[in-house]
Amino acid sequence: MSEQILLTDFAFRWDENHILIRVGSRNGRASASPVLLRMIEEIEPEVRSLLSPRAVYTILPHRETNGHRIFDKAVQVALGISTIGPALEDEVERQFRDGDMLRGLLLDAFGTAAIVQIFKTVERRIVAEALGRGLWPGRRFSPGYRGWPLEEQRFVFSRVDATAAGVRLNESCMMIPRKSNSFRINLFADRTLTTRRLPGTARPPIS
Amino acid sequence: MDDLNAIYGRMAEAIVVGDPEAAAGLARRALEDRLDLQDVIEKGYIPGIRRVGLLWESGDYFLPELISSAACMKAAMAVLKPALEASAAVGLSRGRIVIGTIEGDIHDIGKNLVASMLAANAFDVVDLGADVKPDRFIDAAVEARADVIGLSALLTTTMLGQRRVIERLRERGLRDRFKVLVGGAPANRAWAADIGADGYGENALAAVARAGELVAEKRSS
Repeated sequence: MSEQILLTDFAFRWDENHILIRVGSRNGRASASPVLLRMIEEIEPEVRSLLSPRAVYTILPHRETNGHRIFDKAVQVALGISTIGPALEDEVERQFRDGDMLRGLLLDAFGTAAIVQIFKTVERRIVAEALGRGLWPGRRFSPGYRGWPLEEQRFVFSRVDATAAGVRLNESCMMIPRKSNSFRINLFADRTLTTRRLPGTARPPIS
Repeated sequence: MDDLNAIYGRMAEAIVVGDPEAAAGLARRALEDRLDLQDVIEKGYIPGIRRVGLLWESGDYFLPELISSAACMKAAMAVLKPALEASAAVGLSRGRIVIGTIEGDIHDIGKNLVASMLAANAFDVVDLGADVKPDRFIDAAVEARADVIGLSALLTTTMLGQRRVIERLRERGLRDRFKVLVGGAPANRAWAADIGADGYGENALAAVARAGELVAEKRSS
């Protein structure tokens, strides 16, 4: 297994509007009741205590991939797995079981916001690392999207130390804990191959 | 009569504004005053949850408000339930539904919301949880004498399990015994028709409405 980078230190910032939209308040704060806004304030400190973020990523040469066409033209491929840990999900389940569905839903929304922040942090790190090596990172994709079958989770989990991340796959290739994410970022030698908008550059045309 | 209507109005209002203490308090008062519990539910609380549904449809209410109102219904029903059971009141249930997330799929928040809205709208709900095998849905539906089996799936890969449940119903000679309602992010009306489901609920309230129609269809057939 190639070098595995484990990250556990993440800073979280919550956008109240994003939380509200995630629980279905389409207009965010503008349409939220004072009760709901107060609940969000109350829940936030609890959320932090329920998060145990972990992320592991590795960067492989193309020859160590499984040869799937989605890796074509990449000279290296970054693969990552990240999670918020199981505690928040357990609490969401408890809240639903005990009948406090709104609290459960809000906690779940915070969990979703947290996993997004985790994998975006990892993504930024990989992008910086790749650019530092003179490679051009493509966009981040997860198994199950854009022509990369969900079953490819097994390949990702065979190359990334999922145990260190605290994530496992079930028979349907779903990750447990559910608030987890897996992804690839292809790294190219040729800048024209990436569709990622990079700092200080215009998005290259898609040929 | 005016007093009673005012009480029913306050019950409905407690549901609409999402005040569980008021909803439960009014239910306790109904018991103390020996009100007809069937009327309490049908003229008090149910109109409240129906109004919530209309507010959702008009875009004035969102999911958090729906959930709050469902929780209020639950609080009121928890107070009334022992007396209802003791009096063997009949005719309050709008139907019995066995619901769960399909085998291989571990996502259940959407299903939980549907189950809660069904319960809030006076359906008897047997919630099997997530990752439920096809035969478990069927066995539970037989045992509960359910009207409807509700199948949730979050992913295109797991939604195939909805078809599998319907196939198993046919294989076991039970297809005509239950109506099947499907839902979840990847499902749609065309999918429901393709797999031979009886209905599709695109959100929690649509599922409640469709479930009501399916129960009526089943009981009239």
